[in-house]
Amino acid sequence: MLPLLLLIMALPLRAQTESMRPWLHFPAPLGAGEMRAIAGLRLLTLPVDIVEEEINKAPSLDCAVVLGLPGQTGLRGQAVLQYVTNHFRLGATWSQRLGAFGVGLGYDIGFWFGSVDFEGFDNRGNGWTHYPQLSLGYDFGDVLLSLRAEAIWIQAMRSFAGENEIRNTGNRLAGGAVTAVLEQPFWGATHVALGVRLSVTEFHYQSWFAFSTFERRLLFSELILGVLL
Amino acid sequence: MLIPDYDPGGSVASLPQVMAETMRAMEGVYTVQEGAQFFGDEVVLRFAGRGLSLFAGRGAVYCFLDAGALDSSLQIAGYWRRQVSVETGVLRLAIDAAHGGALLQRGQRPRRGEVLIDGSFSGAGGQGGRPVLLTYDRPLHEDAKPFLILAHRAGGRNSDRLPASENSAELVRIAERFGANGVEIDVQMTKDGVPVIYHDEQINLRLTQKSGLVGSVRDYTIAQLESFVRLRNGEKIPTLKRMLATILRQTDLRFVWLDSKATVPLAQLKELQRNYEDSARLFGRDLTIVLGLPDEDKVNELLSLPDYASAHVLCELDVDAVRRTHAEIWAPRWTLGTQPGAVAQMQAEGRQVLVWTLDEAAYIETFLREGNFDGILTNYPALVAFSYYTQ
Repeated sequence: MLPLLLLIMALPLRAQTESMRPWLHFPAPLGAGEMRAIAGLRLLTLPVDIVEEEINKAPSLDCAVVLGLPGQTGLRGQAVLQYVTNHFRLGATWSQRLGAFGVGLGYDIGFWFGSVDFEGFDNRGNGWTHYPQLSLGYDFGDVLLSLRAEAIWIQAMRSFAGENEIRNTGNRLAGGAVTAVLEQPFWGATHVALGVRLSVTEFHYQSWFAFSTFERRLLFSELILGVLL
Repeated sequence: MLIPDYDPGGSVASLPQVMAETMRAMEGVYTVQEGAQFFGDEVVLRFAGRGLSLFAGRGAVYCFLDAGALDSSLQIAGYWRRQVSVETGVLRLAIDAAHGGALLQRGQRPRRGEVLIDGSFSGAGGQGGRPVLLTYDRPLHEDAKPFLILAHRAGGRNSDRLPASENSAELVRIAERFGANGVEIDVQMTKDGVPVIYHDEQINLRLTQKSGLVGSVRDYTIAQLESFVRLRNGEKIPTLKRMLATILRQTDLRFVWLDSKATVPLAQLKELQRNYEDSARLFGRDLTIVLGLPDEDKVNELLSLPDYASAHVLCELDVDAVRRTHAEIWAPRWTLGTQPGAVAQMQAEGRQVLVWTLDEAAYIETFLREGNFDGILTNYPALVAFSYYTQ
């Protein structure tokens, strides 16, 4: 719930950041105490190998905040919310502006949980995932381009079908992801973020209910659309 | 489809064929002396027709092998596939005359340690060979009542990159090589009323090559489907008649579960069921064909038929529905657990009990050891075969 709390806290702070160019994904330091927030949607396409012709699009609400801390560091929170699966990430960042470029390092820890009654199966699952990451950005003026590469390290995951524990695993590198985001003016003072995240991984939290038996990496693509608050 | 670039099985296939007695004698559980990191501690060797299969418990590994006789030794070669991943490669084995080759060629069943199989396995291109050494340990486990290992979708799913497309006649021909002795197939209806074998409602790229056709199978006639649609590996969508004829004439499978989708009239399936079971009897085949009842709609449709009690039926619902439909087989989903009381009651009433669709190695072991089922439906028949025969 911390990311949501940070998001609510960010709303009254908007006036304080009004004079600054809005961005959230771009890897550049915020002043200590400055906060940015974004709200929008994510649309994940699940690979047909594991979901076949069942649900293969998973739209989610996506909210994120970044809070500037001293020493070019920051605290970041994100909530990706959906009826079946919910994912919360909390992490720390360090970033540096180099002219038009920005570079950043970050480390997020995520917790997901889900529950669904699917064709009579009472299913549920949860897990902890770590996301060490490296970001690069380029400032085109009105448009900011950010690229982020991250590893997906599963610390722990468990899933259940009825009373049966289907999977209890962890401590492994499941794969990685690359995210590209454009942040730009839309109308008036409103700025938007448009992006795509491609992950190649053995496990994506939104696919937990498929109970895949595969030990191979599959491609998951996500469209990202957000309005900077 | 995932098979190695080079399958060395062909080189062995040119050797004189192994006698039937030798095949029976070779079958068994072997201890893995070298290569256990990949194959696990034990493997199963079993013939299906003239083809030799090897099943390992780790990662649903199966091997399609050919065996040939060379003087008093036996040469074995083919490819391995780890079904849960995309790994595959080649396997070459030999049994020298002094290490059991001569014994097996005489058709004598070996004792523990009497047969030693030596060779190597490597990657898809044949590179990086690693040694493998197997010794005969014991015969395959068999129960007094035959246990059904049922392969989902005629052998497995497309996502497992099998040598043929799911629900194809080409896949059902090799279902026994995966360890299955029965299959489940999905029946849809064409626009002109021909039952065909196809899982999804839509013609899509998961199951078919690009054809330009969109929409449901029932929007097209059988002539249109046969002319324009090919399954992922190039096969035609089989009609139910063709599939049953293939099973009857080209396999030794003994059980077929027809999973009929909503548009398929049970009366039509019942007619085909009776015809092909009659044909099986004429061929001297022990073949059971059952109509699956996956939901209440199908139960009600069956009960509306004038002679419904004469149909061979498998009911996936609760035991009350099983009794109402006079189903010979109860097939609960595996997530309901081993249900010892209900299973015993159904069997006491003269019914068989199968469980579906079980793919997790740990649960396959649990259901085999703690349950008292008559069979398991799975996407990994190799895994079930390994667990069953090594009991």
